[in-house]
Amino acid sequence: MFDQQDLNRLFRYCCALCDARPDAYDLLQSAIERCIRTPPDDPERRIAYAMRVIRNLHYDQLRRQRVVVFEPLEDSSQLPQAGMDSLESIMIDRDELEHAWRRMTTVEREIIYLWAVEGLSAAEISVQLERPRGSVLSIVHRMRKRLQTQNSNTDRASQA
Amino acid sequence: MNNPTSLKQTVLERFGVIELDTDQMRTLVDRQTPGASQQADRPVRASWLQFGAAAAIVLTLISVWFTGQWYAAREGNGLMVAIADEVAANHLKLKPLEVEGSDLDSVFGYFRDLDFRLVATPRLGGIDRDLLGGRYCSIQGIAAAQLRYREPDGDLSTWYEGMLPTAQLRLLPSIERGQTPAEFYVRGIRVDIWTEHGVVFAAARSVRP
Repeated sequence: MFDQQDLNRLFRYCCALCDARPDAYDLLQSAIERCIRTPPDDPERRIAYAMRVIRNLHYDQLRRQRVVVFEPLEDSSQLPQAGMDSLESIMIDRDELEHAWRRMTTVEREIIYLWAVEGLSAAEISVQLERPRGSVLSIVHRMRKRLQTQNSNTDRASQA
Repeated sequence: MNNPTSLKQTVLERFGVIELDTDQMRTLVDRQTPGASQQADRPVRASWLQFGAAAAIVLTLISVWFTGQWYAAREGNGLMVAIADEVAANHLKLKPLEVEGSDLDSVFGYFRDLDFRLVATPRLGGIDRDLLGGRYCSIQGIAAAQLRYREPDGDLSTWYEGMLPTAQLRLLPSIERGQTPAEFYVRGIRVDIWTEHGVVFAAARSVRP
């Protein structure tokens, strides 16, 4: 069902969701088990199906551990939004990314991963995340603002 | 500090180096092979859950067994205390003998109405005690035989032989199981209780200094 390339791709997605690599591997194992027991109807869409399984398993686990952050239901139309292209202008090095990555929520990491690695648009990300497109764009706006603030702080620190 | 690049490029580079190691890859590929053993490759957490469940079952069984043993011991001890008290009280009363004699076979012959056969326990031997006779009595409401002896020091001892239901019999120390008689001190009387050849024995005599 999944070849080595597929498995590495799914493992990267697990790593985007989980903090630690062993947790990501456990998550992938459980997802593969689930996919073997209940295979996708369309084998061509196996990656999308497996990613959905991984996501559901991960959030189920977070709920069991009571560590999931429940965000208030917001009216995304009232919040400032930014398109995915607004992230293109952000310049960041590996150290800064690691620092920012640790401070992001799971949903924020997932959005960045799906956009940068999987090449999904905001509309496609909203389908994967099962939340309105406006909500995704609001999160992007907040992330962009935070990353820009972090960058300017870093610049000031390096100048000093 | 590394050279900054676009966010997308830096994220791509970060994830581009992430891959499953050889063992992990083999495990996941093998798992998808039809007929592959799923047991061997189950996630570690699932194995721990199974181990925990098995350990809990074993601990529960052990605790149930120990609780059963504790209740049996408590029940057996309660029965023996009751027998010791009854036997000591009878010994102190020294009721008249119904049959007198020093010959064991003759005295045994008197007890024809018991629903068990009297046993000459080897524990009677070794000491030069004299048989005086016997009488019918009861232990815990069941007919029994009572034999009276004179000990070498002149004191009297009373030996009881009786029957109990099998369930109660099993609660008492058994010579055949290699156990030693239970020893009680009641009303100033020492009482030894045991079972031998399916018969309950109780020996009562005054406490010697």
